[in-house]
Amino acid sequence: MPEHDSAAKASAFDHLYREQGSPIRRFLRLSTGDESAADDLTQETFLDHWRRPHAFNPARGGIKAYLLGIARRKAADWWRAHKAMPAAASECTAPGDNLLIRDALNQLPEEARSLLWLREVEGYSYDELAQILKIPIGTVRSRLHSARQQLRTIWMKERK
Amino acid sequence: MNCSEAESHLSALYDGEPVAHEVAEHAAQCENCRAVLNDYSRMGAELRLASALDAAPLPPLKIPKRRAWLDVLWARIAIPRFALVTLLAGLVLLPIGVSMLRAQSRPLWFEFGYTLRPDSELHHYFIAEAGYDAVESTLGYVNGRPVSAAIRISVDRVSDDDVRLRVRAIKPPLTAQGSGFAISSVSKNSILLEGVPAIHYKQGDALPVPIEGGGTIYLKGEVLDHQPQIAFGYPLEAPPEKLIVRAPVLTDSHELLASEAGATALVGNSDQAIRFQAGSNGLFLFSLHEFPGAVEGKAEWGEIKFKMDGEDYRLVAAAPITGGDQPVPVWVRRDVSNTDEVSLGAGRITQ
Repeated sequence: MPEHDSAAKASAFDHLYREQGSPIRRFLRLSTGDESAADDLTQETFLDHWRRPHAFNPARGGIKAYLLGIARRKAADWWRAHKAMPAAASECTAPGDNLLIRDALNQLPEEARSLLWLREVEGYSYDELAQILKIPIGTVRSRLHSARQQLRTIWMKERK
Repeated sequence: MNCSEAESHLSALYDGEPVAHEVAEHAAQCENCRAVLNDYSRMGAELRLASALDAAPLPPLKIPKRRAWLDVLWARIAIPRFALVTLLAGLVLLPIGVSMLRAQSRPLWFEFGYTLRPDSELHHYFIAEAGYDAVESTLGYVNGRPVSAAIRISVDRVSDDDVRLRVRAIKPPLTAQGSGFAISSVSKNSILLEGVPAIHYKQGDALPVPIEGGGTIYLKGEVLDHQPQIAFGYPLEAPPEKLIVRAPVLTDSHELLASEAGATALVGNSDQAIRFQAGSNGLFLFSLHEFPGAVEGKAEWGEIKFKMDGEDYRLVAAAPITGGDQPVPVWVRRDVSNTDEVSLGAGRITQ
């Protein structure tokens, strides 16, 4: 590959990382409950895309959804390797962060937590969520309903 | 519509997804359902706030550096389908071509002989390469009558599949010698091959060659990838499924029973055996196939060991007795009533 092509590719990739790195990292922090693991997995997610750029097919969805799909698999692998570790709920709370909603969210199962986060914070549509999570739209709808109900129950208890 | 019916649709309604008209109507009028929607709204706002407060600086991405030549190796290039198919076909055909070239460059040998009956064993072997041209003579008896032939054979080509050769046989003049006959010497000039068509001989066949003047002789042979060693007309390297006993010495645990230096015998058919007449010690029959009255022994290279009537016997030959994985089971029978002079031969197994 000519050197100027390689430099242009690196520059474009750096731009992508700066644009999409934070939401991916937030998602991984939420999924793993471990800050350093989230940093490492964010790196791995982007390096996967760097090594195999042709695996991304724009016809099947946006780059953000594609990167989140990789991140999800990375988080699942991480959990398989750290099954014996204690639940990450308390680790995820940053010092000084006393928002009740964060504690409540951390008490949800990982699947419900990720789904709710992707919808509420990252703003993905039901279609996009179905693509990222590889589940039908009807399942996205029912799981979001269930996740909100659970979060509301916990959140209201903590407020009392 | 009541609250419990509307409840499962409130999340979708909150997200702006299409829901039934009744759900939207109920939610607009129901205080409880509106409270749920308000809670969803607050929860969402607090989650986004938490995310904003939590925004730590993104660590720099560390992309591993590759050397330039590796970039070249990793780069994708477009290959036309035709070129790809040609390349793949080349990869498949190349080893075949190489093996064919090797086969062509490797010298092959044709080990052959003649018999007077198509099912008889060869009793004299010859070796030919491409270019071999010689006259051989043979004399035997068929149905009690002497049959002789002088055969000229010219081998044009030896390949794995077949042997291309020209062959012509004539009846040579016999001369009386003592109580028997002898074949007069025959030269190539007496058996010309001009006009004789080339024949493709398939190994293993018994090729009938008419003898001009009466009778038929059969050519048999096989292609070998190495030059076989022939001694006194028999191959030194015994093939599997055949027994070749050359210059045998037979002993028991006490003494030498018989020795026949300079003699060789060969059998391959299952109804035949090597016959080693050990003088007054009886006739010993050896076969690779089990037959009535025989005990099992073992042949290992140039030796056969067997036990009979509590006695250990050993036959030692001047060359490997049979081919294939050693040791090889061999069946042996002794006929003590036959006390002829020491001799070695091959013959049909009799009761």
